[in-house]
Amino acid sequence: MKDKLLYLLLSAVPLLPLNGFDIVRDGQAAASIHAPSDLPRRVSKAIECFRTDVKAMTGAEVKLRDGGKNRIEVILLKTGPYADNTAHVTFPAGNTMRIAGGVYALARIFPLLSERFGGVVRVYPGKDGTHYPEKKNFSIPEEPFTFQPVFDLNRALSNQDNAYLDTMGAKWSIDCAHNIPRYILPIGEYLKSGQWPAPEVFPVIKGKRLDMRHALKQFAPSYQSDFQPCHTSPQSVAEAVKNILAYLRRHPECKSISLSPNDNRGYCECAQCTAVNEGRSNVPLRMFGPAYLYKDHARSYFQWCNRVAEKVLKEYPDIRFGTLAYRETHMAPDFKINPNIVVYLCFDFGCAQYPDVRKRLNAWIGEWVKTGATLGVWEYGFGDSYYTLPRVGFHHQAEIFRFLADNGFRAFFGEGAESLADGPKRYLYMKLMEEPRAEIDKLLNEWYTACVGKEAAPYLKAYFEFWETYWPERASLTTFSESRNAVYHTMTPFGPYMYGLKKGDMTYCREQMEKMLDAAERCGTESQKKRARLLMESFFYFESCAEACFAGILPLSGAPENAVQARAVLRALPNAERAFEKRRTLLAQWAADPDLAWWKGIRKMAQKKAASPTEKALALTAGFAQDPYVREELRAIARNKKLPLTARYIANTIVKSQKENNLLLDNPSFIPLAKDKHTIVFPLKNGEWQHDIPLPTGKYLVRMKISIPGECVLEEGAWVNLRLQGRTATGKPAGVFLDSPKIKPEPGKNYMLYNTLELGERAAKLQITANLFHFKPGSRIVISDIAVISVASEK
Amino acid sequence: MRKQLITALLAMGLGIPAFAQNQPAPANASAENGIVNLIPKKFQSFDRVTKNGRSATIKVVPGKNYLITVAAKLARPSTNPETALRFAIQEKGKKGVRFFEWYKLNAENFTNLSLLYKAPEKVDTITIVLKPRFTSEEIGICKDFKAVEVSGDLDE
Repeated sequence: MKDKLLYLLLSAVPLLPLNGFDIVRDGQAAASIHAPSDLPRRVSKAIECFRTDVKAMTGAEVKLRDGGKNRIEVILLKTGPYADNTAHVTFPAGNTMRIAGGVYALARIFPLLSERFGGVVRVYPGKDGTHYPEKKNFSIPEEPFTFQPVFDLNRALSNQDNAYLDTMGAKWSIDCAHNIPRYILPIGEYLKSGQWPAPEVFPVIKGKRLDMRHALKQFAPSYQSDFQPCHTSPQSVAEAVKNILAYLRRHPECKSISLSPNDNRGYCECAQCTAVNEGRSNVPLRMFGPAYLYKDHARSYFQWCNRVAEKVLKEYPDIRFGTLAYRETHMAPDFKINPNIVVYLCFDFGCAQYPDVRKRLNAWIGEWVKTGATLGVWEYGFGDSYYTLPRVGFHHQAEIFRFLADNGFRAFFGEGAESLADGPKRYLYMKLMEEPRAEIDKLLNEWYTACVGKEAAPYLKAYFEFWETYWPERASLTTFSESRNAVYHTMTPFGPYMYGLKKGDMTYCREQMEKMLDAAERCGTESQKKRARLLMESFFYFESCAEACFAGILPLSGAPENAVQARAVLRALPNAERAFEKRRTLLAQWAADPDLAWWKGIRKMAQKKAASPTEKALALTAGFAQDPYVREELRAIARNKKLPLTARYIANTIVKSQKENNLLLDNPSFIPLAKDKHTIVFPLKNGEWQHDIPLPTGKYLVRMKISIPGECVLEEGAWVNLRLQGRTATGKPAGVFLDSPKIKPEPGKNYMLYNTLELGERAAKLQITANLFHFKPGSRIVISDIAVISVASEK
Repeated sequence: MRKQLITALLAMGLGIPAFAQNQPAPANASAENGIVNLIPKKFQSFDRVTKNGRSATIKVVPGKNYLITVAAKLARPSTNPETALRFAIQEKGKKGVRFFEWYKLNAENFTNLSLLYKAPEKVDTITIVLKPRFTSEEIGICKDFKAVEVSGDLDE
């Protein structure tokens, strides 16, 4: 009744006109696109992307030039190379939407329209990467707006899927690569022509001027590492200017020149360079260390950049120059830098999660702002191409972008690789370069919902939130944190960061991901189901990585710190081997999947062919091989034919090479007790085989091997155990006795018995008793391998 | 030609040792349980390891695995939480030094450092450096410094 009433009320309301510019109405295209035919490829591809988006959402085909009552006018504005990011969307007439802007603005505005007003989310690159909400109508509010990304000079990520990144608004505009041999000192051309520049263009290293002609091998074939030009000789400036101008004449389309130093070291130590670098008027902030590794060459380098730029700009006033605040050049100089020079500050967002690093970063950026240079960032956001856990920090990522924007940064380049397993990380880079003040939780919720569906999204969110907090709160406690003062964190598969994991962490993640998959399978679209399955697999991959390197078993140090941990590692070793194999299978499966060709991170990881971490962990147990339990586990590994031979060899070698600290061997009277095989013939008085060993106070571990020959006859209820008790000097009991569990022996079997006891102040001896009950008279058994080991075995 | 040489050698009652993988133990190395510690005896323990570290040079077979271990502690307690030790290996004929993980040290207990090292191709001599992260006041003690070839035999 209530429903009917509601229906009546609704049908009585007249249909309100839609307050928007219709692109599609009732599944039919309501607009067509009118664009010049000679648009740059980048723009026409963007228009195609928009048409594909509209068709995928509504089924309607937006045509070019005809169809529909509404008209989308595209106007390409002729702009300078750095004003091509702005687009204006206006509605000059009732049925016209006009989009006018530069190349990069038009290339982004079309995909952005379907994202912002249609709900399209480009979750990942690839065939099933984009989420298209199904709808019959698609319109754009008739309110003019201007689109202008905040990072307007450069928006780029490495190891990228080009189609995806272009759609998301990539702009490769300021070259900052290590390109000295391309623009500054073209070694290849010198070699071809035989005409070499003045020797002073090359650096003085360790007191000698580099004679490149005779040192080619050292730097070939790329000449992009380990040497720099001399930064103070006039010849060096003249040579750089000459070569840059020649390059610009040959490449009139070129908009930027990289003055970035070559990678690594090789800075000039001539008297003049040294004087310039030592002539600072301030004490600069050192962001990266140690000082002996990264000597300060920033003054000479940026003075050289200024001089080169000044001369080139006279002829080419619009050119910008990419430079790096990296290693030896990272400290801000105490003079102004030409604003046409873009300085990329090189650092790892991950390192900035440590409060001490962050404090320094803020101050460092402050010093750079004062130089007047145009600023950018070269970031090391590596993920699954190097790390074996999801390396994400979305909120931190957003917070840093906002901070950069507040400080006027305009260029960004992120090293790393496309990744499925790192969730929205790369998506966020692109979104935040465009709009660094965007609300991060909104962006994330949109992404999670689009990725796996509304019902599954909370679980995926919980999973990634775990990893977001993992890096600052857990991985930071491991030795991984020691590299936080470097330009970027030490990135290795199975690195020390793995050992921040606690027992139960992966179980928690698995629960979230299983719930996520279940919800996606029940409620998601086909694409969402596919993505959910892949994300589940990516969790299995990380779970295998953790299991393979004993994360969750080993302490924060990543090495066993006592015999108990060493034993736990050894017991888990067969599982770890299986996990490593599973990881390898997943890597091979993904690397062979053409639909995942865009997932470059995992392909790079597969190429690394990382060795199984089990061997290293096995080696780490060597320090505890004097512990009899550890030795037994090692022996078990050596005998386990299911394990790889190398692991078995290592275990066997450890057992043989690490001396057991058997205290019986220190006392000549007890050496036979330790080394001999003792045959016991029954009946045995009181069923006890007993020895008293004089020992100081302390905790001891005792081992004894009892071998029951095949012909031995046992009575019903036969049992053996190992009893320990402290005794005074006169043989009286000193404390209670402790029994190992009773064992029911079987003929033909060997038993290794262990027991521990703490000898108190009154005790002078340790009494060892083998209790052997219900053996038939005439039977024989053998006792051997007796060891008494101090549990604090340092002595 | 080779066949003739082998025949001649056999006739002389000689074997061909050429493909034997295990190198003979150096004169000053020590053997126990059939395992040879390649670290010369006088370098197997150090009462005084300063911030400059200590080292031992050994012969290796390219491609073979070696288990390198040492137990180390500080001679005196230190308030410096960063005190640590690690292995560094210089491979003869190769540039640079390979550094391995840090192990934190204390004065109470020996910390066991271990490393599984595979000798690269064409490297037959390595120098194992015990590289500390000490201040000039800190001194370490090392014992049981061992380098053993991972044997290709399995005991029953």
